[in-house]
Amino acid sequence: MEYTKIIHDFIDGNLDAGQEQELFYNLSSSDELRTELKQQIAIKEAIKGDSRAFTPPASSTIGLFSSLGFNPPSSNVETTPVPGNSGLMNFLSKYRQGLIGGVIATMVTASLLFFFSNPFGKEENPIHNDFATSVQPKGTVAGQSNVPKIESYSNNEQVKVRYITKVRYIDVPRYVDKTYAEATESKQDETASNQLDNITKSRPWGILKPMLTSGGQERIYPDLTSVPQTNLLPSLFIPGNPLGMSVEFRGSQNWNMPSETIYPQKLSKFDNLALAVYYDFTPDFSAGLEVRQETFFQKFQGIKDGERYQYQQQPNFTSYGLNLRYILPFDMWGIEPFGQISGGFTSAGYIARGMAGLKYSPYKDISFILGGEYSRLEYKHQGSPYNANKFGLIYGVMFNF
Amino acid sequence: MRQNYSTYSDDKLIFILRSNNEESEAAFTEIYNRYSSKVHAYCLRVLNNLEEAEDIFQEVFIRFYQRVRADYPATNVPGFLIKIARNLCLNYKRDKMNTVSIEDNDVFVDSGKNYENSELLELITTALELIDFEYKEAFILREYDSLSYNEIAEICGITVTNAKSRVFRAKLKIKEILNPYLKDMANK
Repeated sequence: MEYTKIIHDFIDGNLDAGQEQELFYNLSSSDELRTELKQQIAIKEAIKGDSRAFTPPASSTIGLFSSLGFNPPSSNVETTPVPGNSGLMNFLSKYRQGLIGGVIATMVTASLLFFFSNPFGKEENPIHNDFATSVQPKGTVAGQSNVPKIESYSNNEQVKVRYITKVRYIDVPRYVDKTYAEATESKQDETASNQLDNITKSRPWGILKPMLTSGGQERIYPDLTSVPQTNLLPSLFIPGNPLGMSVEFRGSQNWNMPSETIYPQKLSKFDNLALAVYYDFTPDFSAGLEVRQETFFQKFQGIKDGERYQYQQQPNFTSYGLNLRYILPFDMWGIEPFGQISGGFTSAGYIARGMAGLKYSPYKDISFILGGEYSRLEYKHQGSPYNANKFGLIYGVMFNF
Repeated sequence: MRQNYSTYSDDKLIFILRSNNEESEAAFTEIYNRYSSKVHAYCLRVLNNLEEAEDIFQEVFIRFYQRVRADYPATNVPGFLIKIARNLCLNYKRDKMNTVSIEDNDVFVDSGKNYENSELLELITTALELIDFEYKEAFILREYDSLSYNEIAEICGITVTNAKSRVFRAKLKIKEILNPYLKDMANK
């Protein structure tokens, strides 16, 4: 301790000339004293090099100056391109990771949509190919064009145009209603308009339009507006009509509420990724099961050894949930809004989620979703209830089969 | 012509700051440039939590500005700033329960610095958390803020002798905690 005190005073500049001389003399002969000097210098140097402590972050400086209505110092301006928009800069700085992720996801989704929808090259549009193979009426002579003749459908020019527009996207025979077909056979002598009236009454869910004649035999086609919109679309990967099952892969960028003060030491390999399987009970309503890898920022209190502690952690969770999704009856440019509620659990507690988003289906077997999701984890520690909340930007792709 | 405020004394800057004209912003900026590192170091090392330290750090300068504009007590600027920081930190610590961050063990290593220094610094930071607050604070004021023993005594409301004693005891305790590491370092 004596050496420590002497060296301490020396570094502090509290030794007089005589004491310093004595110290230098002793330094030459005492390893212990030299070691002590080295150690104290090392401590001082280490503290001097504590750049983290001595450097206020630019975000703090900008925040402070903007709250006072000042322009931040130039040293901070250099690191922030738009000092005047400090609020915006703070926002961008704070949510940089999420925003970058969102932008990338949007770009990837847009690229995929662009690729799949193929706005150029009309002749190569798969919709047309699908049309050619799916709407060929019975009795079409081999070698003839696959494109149905307009005059074979109706004598009414306006109606003809209407049918061509709608029929070409689907496999027509699938939509012929058996009941209706039987009814048609038994009432062959009735006029087409009478048949339509009868069928409309027997099928409250859909209106069948006038018969189409092919090869001398009357054929009946439904009003395609009553068919789910996705069924009107062509397939990209999976032929035939969807069975109502979907597999969804989802990614997300999340923001904890309140913001996390500590980060996971390691993130799961599949962090913020979800896999869900849905079944469509109706065209608008579907339910599904999902498994997801995610983190929640938890802040809770506990008593240990008589001391009260506040814990903060952000562990990785594997969560399981049941999703109920409802697609709202609005369709704008093929984009449908939807809402989803979910209930689930993790090893820590129960999870409730609410999600609103948009679904875009360029093909009947593939859809893209983009939305916002609020998640709440309810958990307990030492019997006391706590919760953790977060908001996520969700993006994903669905394969419908 | 733009003034070179860096040559102005603290008193002159305070005078300009209180004058409520266009120059007051520049005067505040100069004061900030001079003392922000000390205030930040104090807040960070006393609270040992970056996010909390940032909040207190900003609050220190906001209060400083408000106090100076309202009724600035004639005293030295760094001492006044540290006093505000100390009050805010103590209030914060008083209001806050013991906090343990289970995973908050990230080691900050500045790539441009000596790794050994960074490692030692990390140990010093940890050691500071293990010693009594009165010693820790005196040590921070002395080593981080380079305050004189008189200033430390005034800020902490103790005698100069007591201030010296606290700084030395803090160093002793830190050395005691770091002893195994320091021995290794000396043998290298």
